Amino acid sequence: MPKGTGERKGGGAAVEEQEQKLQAILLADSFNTNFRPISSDMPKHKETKKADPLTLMTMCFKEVGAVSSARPILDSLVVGMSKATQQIVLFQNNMEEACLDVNPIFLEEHGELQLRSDLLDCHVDVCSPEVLVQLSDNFDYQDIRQHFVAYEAANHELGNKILAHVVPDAGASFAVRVHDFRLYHEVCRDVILRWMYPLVPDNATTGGVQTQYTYSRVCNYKAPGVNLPRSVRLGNGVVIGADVTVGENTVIERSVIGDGCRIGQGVTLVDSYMWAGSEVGDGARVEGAIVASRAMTKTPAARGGAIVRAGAVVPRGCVLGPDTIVGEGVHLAEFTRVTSGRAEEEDDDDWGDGGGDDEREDSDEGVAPEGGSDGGGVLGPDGVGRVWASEDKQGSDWEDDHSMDSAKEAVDVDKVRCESIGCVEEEAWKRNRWTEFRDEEDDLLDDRDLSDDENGGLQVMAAMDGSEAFHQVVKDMLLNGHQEGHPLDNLLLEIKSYKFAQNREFKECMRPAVELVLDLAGADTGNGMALVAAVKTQLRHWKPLLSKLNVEAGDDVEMIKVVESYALRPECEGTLRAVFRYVVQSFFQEEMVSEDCLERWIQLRRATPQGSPERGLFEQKEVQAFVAWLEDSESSSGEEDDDSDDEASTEEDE
Amino acid sequence: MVSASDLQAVILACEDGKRLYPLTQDVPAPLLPVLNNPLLHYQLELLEKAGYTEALVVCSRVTEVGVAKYKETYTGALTLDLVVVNGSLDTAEVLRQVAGSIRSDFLLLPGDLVCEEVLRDLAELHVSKRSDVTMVVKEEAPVKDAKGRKTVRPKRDEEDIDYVGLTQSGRLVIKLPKLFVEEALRIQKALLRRHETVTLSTTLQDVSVYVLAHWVLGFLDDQRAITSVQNELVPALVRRQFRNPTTGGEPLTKRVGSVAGEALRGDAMVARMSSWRPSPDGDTADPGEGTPGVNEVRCFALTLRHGEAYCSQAKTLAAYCTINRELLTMREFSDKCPWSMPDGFRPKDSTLVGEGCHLGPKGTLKFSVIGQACKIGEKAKINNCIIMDGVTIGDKSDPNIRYPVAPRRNRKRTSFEPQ
Repeated sequence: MPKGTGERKGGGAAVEEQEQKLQAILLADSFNTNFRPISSDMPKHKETKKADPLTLMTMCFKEVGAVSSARPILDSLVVGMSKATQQIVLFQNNMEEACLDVNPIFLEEHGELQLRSDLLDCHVDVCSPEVLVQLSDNFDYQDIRQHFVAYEAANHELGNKILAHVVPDAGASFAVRVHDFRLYHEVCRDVILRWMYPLVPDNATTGGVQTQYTYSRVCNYKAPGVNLPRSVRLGNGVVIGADVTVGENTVIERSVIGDGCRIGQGVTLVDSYMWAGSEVGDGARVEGAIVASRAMTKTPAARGGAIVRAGAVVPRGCVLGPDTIVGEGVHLAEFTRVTSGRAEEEDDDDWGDGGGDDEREDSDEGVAPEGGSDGGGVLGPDGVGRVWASEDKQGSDWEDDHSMDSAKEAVDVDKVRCESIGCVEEEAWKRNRWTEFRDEEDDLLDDRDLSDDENGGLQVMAAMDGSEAFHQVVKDMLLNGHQEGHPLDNLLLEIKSYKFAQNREFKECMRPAVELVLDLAGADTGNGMALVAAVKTQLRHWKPLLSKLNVEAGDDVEMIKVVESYALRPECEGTLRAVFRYVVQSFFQEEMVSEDCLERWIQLRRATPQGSPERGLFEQKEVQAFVAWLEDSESSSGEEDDDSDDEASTEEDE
Repeated sequence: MVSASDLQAVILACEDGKRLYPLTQDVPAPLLPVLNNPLLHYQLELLEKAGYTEALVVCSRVTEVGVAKYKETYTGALTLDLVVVNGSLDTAEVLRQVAGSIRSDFLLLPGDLVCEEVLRDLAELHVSKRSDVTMVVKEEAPVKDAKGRKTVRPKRDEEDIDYVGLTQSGRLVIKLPKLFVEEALRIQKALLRRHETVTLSTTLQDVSVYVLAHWVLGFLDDQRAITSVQNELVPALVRRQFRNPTTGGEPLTKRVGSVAGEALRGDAMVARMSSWRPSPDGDTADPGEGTPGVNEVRCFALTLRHGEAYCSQAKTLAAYCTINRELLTMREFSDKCPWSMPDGFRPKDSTLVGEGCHLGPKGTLKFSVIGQACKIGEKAKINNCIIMDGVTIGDKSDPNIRYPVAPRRNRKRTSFEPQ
């Protein structure tokens, strides 16, 4: 906006020493406000500083809402502050991070913390002199926000304090940084719609040429003496400066036209800014662009207003620097930025806000001699200037907002577009960012994940995996120990401690142990009675260990189930499965399983539905014979002692 | 208008009172006397005043006998329904066992609660916000430091501290027991997108009073690993709130079991039509206030500011003593005391003396509660004490100890020998 933004021009961030010579206020060069943080904050900061000498800085924030258009697109500031003291304990502005980590120490200390995403950093800081000391001491503090504030705020040990001053949304004050072209547009809209009173076009003052604009319906402002042809159509919110000439049938909407601009016939000018002395030729379309000049120079001749020749199209997001010319009938691509200067001589004064951007330009391609044309490429044969290539910006000499550079790498948006007028896609992208919750939130509970609600199915699977792994580990332990000849007691101790560590039951150790016994006996390779004998031998060896695992009544059924499932493995068809009955019997003989247990097992299998593999196994002729014998021996006499049982079964064996 | 009594009341009188040991050696925690009334009495009175007509009292094998005995002598307006659960279980496990007796959205009270009327507000919040989990959080009362000069924050046991995140509308968005957080409390920006200002505090205390939707029982049934309502169930539901049902794994189906529940949430069907996600331009309004999606979980908390309503949980010995003392003070200004108390209060001593006590001459009593049928000897000084039924205190004894102690309940007649 050529006039009346009250924009402060300063070379880079300025540390203005106030008359107190004690405190300093840091104002960003592009700060635009009508509120008075300076007058209201200075005394407050001094007071706090007196009470607590560790107070470094008071930062000003404005309540605007999390997705306000007054926010740069690549800004996602979250501020955590103590509710009682307004001390900032968390300052995070990183588009990449979907989460923030709150240090519990601060919670302990302050009791209540407010986490706010609705604050806009005004980049107005009241600093104590210690800030300068800190900055010189810590030379790795390159950036006030990203390094200094973020680090000092989160540093609990040193105890330096950064306070926040929040300007409520409800008040009459307005505070926005004109951080990029998009915000330039936003702020201009706000000023025109009088949202920034008293900084409004009709009493804005700059340059001293003249300041009286007349207001007409739908927020249109005209400098005195401007006569527009009848056929010109004005939309909402148009500001027209002095000595502007406009041709017939031209349409102007939501635009600001500086002093002395010339606009041809049949021009469409929408959402655009023509700085003093620039020109748009007949039939051209300029939509969402800035046509710049050295607006603040006194003599019109020195302004070097950019020129859009007849029939050219300058679409959204374009910026035409001073002294550039868009040739006749040229259609520029969206978001093209055109400059007339050479990389080295780039003078950023006239770019309103984008000083930093220009400096960083050092592309070797497309460097045209000053004032020369770019060879009839983008700007047409009669064009002047060259396209400013944004790809090559490597400069990291930004005073602030480093986050944006890093964010750009991670997020899939073009930074240049984000900072241009009319980047609706990026705005939509921003709106939809972080609307979804990530499930990683459950990491919070680490191992308590099981208790979490996720999906039951997965949970069961995880549990299964867990027990599979557990079995494998126990089995390996036993096998290794066995091979290295460790005594059984030691092995028992080993698996016991593992069992406790994994919070498992003895029952669960049984499976790997029994499987190991069968493995060692060669259950999947041996056959016939040789296998049974091998199982017996192994059982005798492992008996002390197995019986110790068998702690609770009923666990021994588990043992038979293990033998069952082992026998049902496909590779055991001709081996273990064939002699299943005898193996079970040897478990019985070796007193690994009790009679009760076998009874329970029989009951269980009788209740098992027909057709299941276990039932099939149970229905084997030998098994049935064994069962019959068991029941017979039981019913014939309760007193029959084990010896006779053994005899009976040995007979069966033969 | 909904009255509090639309909710089913469940009192968990099954706590083993480990942290009140050795007081709970003989007396189960819910029956510990506070001003000579068992703790359970206060919960029942609370329910009566809120207009409840029945209550489900859950006891364990340990508390069963005592509670049943109390029920016999109970003369209040409530119909008490006793359920006994097996084993010494944590709260969520207990709920799982008694799920069959719960018919609708329900109010869960711990057996060690002494609380003034908050139930109406709680029930109203629950219904008006269409909440699924509504809990009470109490702002801790600042205390004087040791020298009595500065006000400091009271010390609480680590296990009682929660990180509680609330939005301005009282929506509960973070709840995590402190012990579960190791290094940092991780908060998603998505949460702050929806609720621009979240107040995260450690000063709010969970007093274990919850209103839970009926479907939560089904959820509990699916999530067998959850054992505690306070530390696991509520945090799990709070986290569940914002999960997108389409991406967050298996969508949670709220099984609304009761007719009352369905009536309460009849318009949830309408809400199904509206999208789950907040509208992109809903940037100014608190979207938490919008129409909830059909399977969206909603948690709210009722905050009791300091000094608003009395609400305390006799979780620890210290808390138990504090409750006695505070109630004594309220009793002194008997018009302010919301509870009916047994007679025998002696305002000049700030002491409550139970029936059938025999007090020896020249003794001094201060800020104490003396149970029934106690014998107190000559010249005994009793200050800041809780003395349970049937205790004998010898002549000239001085159980005046800086920290108030409660002599063990005395069937065996503990006595302090004369000095």
